[in-house]
Amino acid sequence: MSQQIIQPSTADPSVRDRSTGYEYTVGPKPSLPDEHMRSPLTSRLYAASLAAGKQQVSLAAMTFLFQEMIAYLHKNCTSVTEFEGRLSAYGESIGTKLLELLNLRSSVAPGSSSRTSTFLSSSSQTSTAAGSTTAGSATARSRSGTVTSSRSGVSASTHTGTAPSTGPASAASHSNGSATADSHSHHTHAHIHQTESLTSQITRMRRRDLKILDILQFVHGTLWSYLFDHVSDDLVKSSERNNEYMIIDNHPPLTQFISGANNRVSCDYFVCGIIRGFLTDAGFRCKVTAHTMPQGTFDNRTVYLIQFDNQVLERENIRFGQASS
Amino acid sequence: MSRPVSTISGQSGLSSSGSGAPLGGQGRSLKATGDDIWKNKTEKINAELFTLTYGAIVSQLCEDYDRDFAKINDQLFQMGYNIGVRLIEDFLARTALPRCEDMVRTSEVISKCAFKVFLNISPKVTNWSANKEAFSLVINDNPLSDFVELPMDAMKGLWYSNVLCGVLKGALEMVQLDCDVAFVSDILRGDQLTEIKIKLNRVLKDEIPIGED
Repeated sequence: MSQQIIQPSTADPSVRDRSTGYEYTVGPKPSLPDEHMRSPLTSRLYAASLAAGKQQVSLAAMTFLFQEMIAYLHKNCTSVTEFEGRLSAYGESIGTKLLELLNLRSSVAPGSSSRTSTFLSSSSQTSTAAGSTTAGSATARSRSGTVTSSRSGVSASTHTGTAPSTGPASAASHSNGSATADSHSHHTHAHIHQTESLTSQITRMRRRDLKILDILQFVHGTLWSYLFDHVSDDLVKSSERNNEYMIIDNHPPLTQFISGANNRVSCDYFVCGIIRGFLTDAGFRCKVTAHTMPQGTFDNRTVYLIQFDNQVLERENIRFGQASS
Repeated sequence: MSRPVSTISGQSGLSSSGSGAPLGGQGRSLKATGDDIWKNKTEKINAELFTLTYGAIVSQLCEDYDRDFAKINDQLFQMGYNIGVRLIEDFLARTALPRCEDMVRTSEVISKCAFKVFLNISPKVTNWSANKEAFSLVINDNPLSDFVELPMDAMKGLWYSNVLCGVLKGALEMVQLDCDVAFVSDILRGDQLTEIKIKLNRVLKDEIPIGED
């Protein structure tokens, strides 16, 4: 790959035209002769909101895709180690992205919007289970906030500033005396299609996790809830080696339909990759391996063993020496 | 194999159309079926994980095939085909839908049930050919391509979501419909719409494997 990134200084067009459409110092660049004529495609990405949606797909669709990914690797790999390594590489590319995304989403101040907890669906369930009036007023407030922002262009202030009592009033003043039902349908409509900027809800960024335990808690809690809708079943420190930690999932959803314990564990390396990418990018270099350890009724119980590099432990000792060990 | 089931419920399908209900009525019931199955009988997972996983697959293919987008399209199609031939089983088991009497009905089932049950979207069915054997699916919120932007060279050659075509092709073939399925346009390429064209070639004969029946 590296040969292709560095463009050779030659006049031979066959070499020069082998463009990837992306100049690493400039960004996207035209790779076709007539592309200058076309109007530049406005990037939709920057307009898209990072706010956590409640989008879901069926587990079946996901596992079908996962299976094809594994079948593809099976065809192209000669050894189990290579297979696990490559599957892990898929996961790593995802883990690195999730680190930034989940940090950003966790920074949303609690209570600023009803959306804050949507990616922790377990907590959103508890909030609905509570069914208290405060939860109701919170949603009402954020809804009216969405409407006003979509109509008048005010975005941030309405979210944080308006008291619950003024929220409905401002919405009513905007609805031009139309029927309440109509304005309500407008609410839901706006709620779905209006892309809301996530940053407008963040007043202070969450601090980066510096300690091993903190980042592992984040993986165990936030990352797992994001991926699988529940926190992982256990987070354990090895009693034998002090650089080893274990995250335990009693029932890994992605690999539940794969038969044979050995096969299944190899496929769990996808999740290993996600953990590794996540931790490595956060500054905690490590190796992650999967092991099957059935216990009780959980035949698929999987242990993700995280082995941190020595440098991570050394750093922790220097920085937090008195506190941690 | 599912002969008895299809005839029984096939009659019920006919009776509903026989009672003079317009096409929309049928569509509504299909929509209700799809919604109900999605809501109550489907295990779900975060769509972003799905999106990210597919993204990882495509970008890895780009690397493996050295950005030969024709080959990548084929590979994605093949992956989809492999999924489709098995997915149809899952789909029929979940929905227990009867045999479709024509392509119009098929298109409704695909849009309102199949896409709904698996991806929680309902593409719009349009662009019918005169003989009612070819139509287009217009996908508005393709979960595969969320947060995706193609480099300029890929914009010309790559059908990013080509796996969908493969799935449709494989699944339809398993219910004796030999179809051509291909992307016509994709928002990722700068087009206005994301459109998949499905054209019926012929209805395959229902061949029973030797030794059965």
